[in-house]
Amino acid sequence: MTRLSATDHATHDLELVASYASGDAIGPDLDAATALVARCPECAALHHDLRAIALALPTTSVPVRTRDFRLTPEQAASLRARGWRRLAAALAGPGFRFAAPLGTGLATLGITGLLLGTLAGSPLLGATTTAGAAGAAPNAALDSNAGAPPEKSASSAYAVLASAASSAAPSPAASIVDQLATNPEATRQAASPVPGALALQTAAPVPAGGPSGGDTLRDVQPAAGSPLVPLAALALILGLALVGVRLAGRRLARGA
Amino acid sequence: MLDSPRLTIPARRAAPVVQDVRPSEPVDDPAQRRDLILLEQARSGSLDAFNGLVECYQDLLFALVARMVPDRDQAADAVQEAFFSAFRNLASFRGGSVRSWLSRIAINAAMDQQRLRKRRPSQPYPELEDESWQPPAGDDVDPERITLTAERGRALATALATITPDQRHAIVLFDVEGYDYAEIAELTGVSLGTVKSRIHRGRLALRERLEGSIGLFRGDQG
Repeated sequence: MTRLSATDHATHDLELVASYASGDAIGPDLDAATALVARCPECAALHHDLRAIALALPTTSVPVRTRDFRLTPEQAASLRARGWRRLAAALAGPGFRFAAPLGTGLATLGITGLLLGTLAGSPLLGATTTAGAAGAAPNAALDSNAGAPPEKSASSAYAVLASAASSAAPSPAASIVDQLATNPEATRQAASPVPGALALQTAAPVPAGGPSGGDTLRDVQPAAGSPLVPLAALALILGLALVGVRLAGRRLARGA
Repeated sequence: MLDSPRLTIPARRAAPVVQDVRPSEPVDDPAQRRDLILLEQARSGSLDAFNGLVECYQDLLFALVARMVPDRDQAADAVQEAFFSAFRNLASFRGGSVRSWLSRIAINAAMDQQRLRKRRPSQPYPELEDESWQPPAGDDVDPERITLTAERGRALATALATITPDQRHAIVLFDVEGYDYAEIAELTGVSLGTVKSRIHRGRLALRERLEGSIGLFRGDQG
């Protein structure tokens, strides 16, 4: 077998030999390392030494401790969690482990419910049922009643606003409804043609002659009364809150 | 000499025992049963129970950490901090092996200690004559062999103290403590390839530092 000189050894990949000595070399590396160890005496010596060192390592002296690590009652008292640290520890603990999966599930259900509600309320499906529709509903109602007498169209606009606002409490629609209910002047203004409202063509086509206020209300009310959207929103909020509380608890407990 | 039969490659060391941490497994090990009982009592507020766990594992954890952290005072601080951390986080124990749980906390404490005091010069390992270092227990009663083992141990300990902390941690965890690559990768937060590389380079560095005393290791392999 051809032996390589020491000059050649300087160019050899020593980490490859170390990898081979650990039994980690595979494939082409294994072939290359085997060839190196077989042909280069220095690589063979290195391989031998590395294996010997690895075998000797577990037999190194055992350090003996110089201190007693038992906790004193004072140390334990200072380490015990109190106040927010106790709360964080409880939230991060195994007793609250259910929070993350449950929260994720609830949030998923909530998003799904909101999406379904939105799709059901889209103009293509011909109904306005969602919280998202709450913002569009006032303009749509104003648009459809633009040609009607002020008093009549004002009452129908108010009905639409009321039903839309009821499906999404914390929305601008709710405040508008309050305004319209308490201020007749504002109601009249809302009933008058508004350029911005006319430009929005989101409502269903209105038959010639115009619908009565009662018709508009009847079209919208069943959808607005559906429990899907509020339930979905509640599930989403609850799910996000659970996940958030769990994450915050773990972070705080880690930092405590 | 290099062509001698001793150069044949023996089978790689036996795979380290990986403790099953699944809580659903029945606990057959009496030590593990004892640990779980003590831990449960400690969770209920018993300091004595926690100190029972400390008594059981303080020697083992100090030996582990002192190999990773060259300075003995720093190692003791790291072990103390590990027990503090364990006490604070009793509620976060998720079942499985208490020993593994404590070892992981101690390893993290040792690595934190190294990171915190990276810029401070570390003192070398104490001499073997220091009575705080003991040769590992074994059946070997041959005085010559005991002396050789002691000499090797001292040379290795000194060499270990001079390689980089990352390489030392990987080598101690793999070669001394018997963790496998994946466990070390998880413990140290690096990739499997990095762990292997650190071990290979660390061994090469050890060999370089043991150049003068490499004769102690030759001729006694397998």
